Amino acid sequence: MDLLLLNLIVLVYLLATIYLGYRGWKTTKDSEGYMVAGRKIHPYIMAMSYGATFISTSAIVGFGGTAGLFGMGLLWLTFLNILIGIFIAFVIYGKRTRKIGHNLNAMTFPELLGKRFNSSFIQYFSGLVILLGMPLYAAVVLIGAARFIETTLSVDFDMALLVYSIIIAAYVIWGGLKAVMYTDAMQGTIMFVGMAFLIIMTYSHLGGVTTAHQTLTNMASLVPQNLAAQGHTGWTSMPTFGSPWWWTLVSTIVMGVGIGVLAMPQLVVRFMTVKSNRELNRAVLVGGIFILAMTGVAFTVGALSNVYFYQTQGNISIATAGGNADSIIPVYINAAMPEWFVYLFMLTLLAAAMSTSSSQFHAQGTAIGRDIYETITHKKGQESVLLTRMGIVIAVIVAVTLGYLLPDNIIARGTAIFFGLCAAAFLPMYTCGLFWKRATREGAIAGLVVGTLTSIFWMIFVHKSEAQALGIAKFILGRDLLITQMPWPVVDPIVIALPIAFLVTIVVSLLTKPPEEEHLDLCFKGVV
Amino acid sequence: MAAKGGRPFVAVSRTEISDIWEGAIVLGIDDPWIWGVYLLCLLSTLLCVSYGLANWNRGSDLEALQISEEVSWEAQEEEMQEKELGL
Repeated sequence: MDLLLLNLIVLVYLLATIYLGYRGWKTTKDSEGYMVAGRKIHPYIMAMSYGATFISTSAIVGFGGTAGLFGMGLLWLTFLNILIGIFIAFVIYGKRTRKIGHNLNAMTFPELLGKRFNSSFIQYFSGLVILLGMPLYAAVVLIGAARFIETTLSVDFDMALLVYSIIIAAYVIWGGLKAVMYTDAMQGTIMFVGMAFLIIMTYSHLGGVTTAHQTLTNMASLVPQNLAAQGHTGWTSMPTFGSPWWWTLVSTIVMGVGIGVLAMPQLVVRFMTVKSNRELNRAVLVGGIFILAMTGVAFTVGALSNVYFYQTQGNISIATAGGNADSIIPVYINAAMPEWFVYLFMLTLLAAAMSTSSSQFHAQGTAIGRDIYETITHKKGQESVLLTRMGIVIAVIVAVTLGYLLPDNIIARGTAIFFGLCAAAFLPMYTCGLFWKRATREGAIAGLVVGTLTSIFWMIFVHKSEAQALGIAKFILGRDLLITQMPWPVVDPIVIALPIAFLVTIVVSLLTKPPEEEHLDLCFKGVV
Repeated sequence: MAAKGGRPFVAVSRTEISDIWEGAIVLGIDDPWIWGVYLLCLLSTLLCVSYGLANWNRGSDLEALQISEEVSWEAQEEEMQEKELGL
């Protein structure tokens, strides 16, 4: 590989990123521009920004590698990503979020929830939940990106981490959400081109769609004993019902990530950046195709890499990758693809990481500045932009520090922890707030607190992956888990915390005084 | 039209239909849960595309209301700029 050429390509890409960040800064004048991009964003930019923020490097490399290990069952996640993450999110949730957000002049997700239920507690508590969970998720993406830069561009890890963080921090701090969304749209376009080439070349390499799948189906007998014991039945079949892998696939990967996306603060805020429902209608088209090209391609190619490695090296993917699922996609790209594509794919991964990081920093900045500081000190709207900028600086420093301080096994669980926490804390209140006028402030608060605490409890004491990594249960109870009987240690927190939080929100709402008609009229004005 | 075993289609029971699906190989995949979801991914994308095309110009039917709202937003925005930036 020509390292000079690769560095040049990355330099051109970074210059384009900086230019778009500058464009965002030039057109941002006030807090509305800084936080909700002036509410007049083009549907293509909105959809690509949503998609590129949603899909990080770990969705392509990490989950793609998991598909290489366990097969095409992961496509259930892609299906939910498109149906729930795009169609239901945009058409059902997005339209009401946009309208109610406008009616209440909300600029962040916690602010939308707080104003909908007339509660400043909801706003700052939600900000705190974001502040509690998002730094871990941000650290995952940051460290992943720095490792990737270290290995591909031969740059020292510490230097890579520093430069990567400074570049993103610079355009997010100065340009706000417009800069984030403009750069996201470009990064999303690069990702789309990269993934489209990847699926076309993979299928043509392996003799076409049906031949490639058929060969993989015929390889079921090659599944190693230890994987078969966890429920692995082949790369084109579902795991054994009720096995540990079945639970992980269905509860953590498919439900946790697939449903959790509806309540991601950094994604919800994008619905408030467009002018009318027409923009959202158009964005659905772009978003659907984009997500299919991201996780759909990554999971299919990940699974099919087994065919390539078996035909060329006589091994399945996980054996070729030295037992590390995270290496399956990079090893496959390097072995099976032409050199020009390796450059394009590296750019794709860098774009995927940067688009996710920038939105994480922006969301944390607004949570610290607008949702927590301004709400607690009652200094609303006076210096929102300055406070958010300071919040972003804090978020970057915290994410970098966490990346250095925390052990790898906790960092690796960061995405799951954040998705699970957001779903349990926000989804019941958000859903009821948009669709159920009888939902009350007390109901929303009860659901928020119970959802958050149940989720945290399950992660610390019951769900094996997080409980072992965090080590708090071991410290308090002297053993890794509170309940060891199957299937509880492999049941994701979302399966428990989300229904409980929904139930609590509904029951408490019904037991308390209905909200005032006047406030509801303001919230739902023009909602059809 | 004949089903498995050459019997008429109408005589096939629910269990047998499930057996037929179990035995079907679609796009080289024999598990209906996997080829089913492969097709569902494509169909859900098609749903997004058709919805987007069918509603390409819809959603701004409350134009009069939107124009009046926009005027008030613009006023709010000017006020915000004045307050924050002293413009």
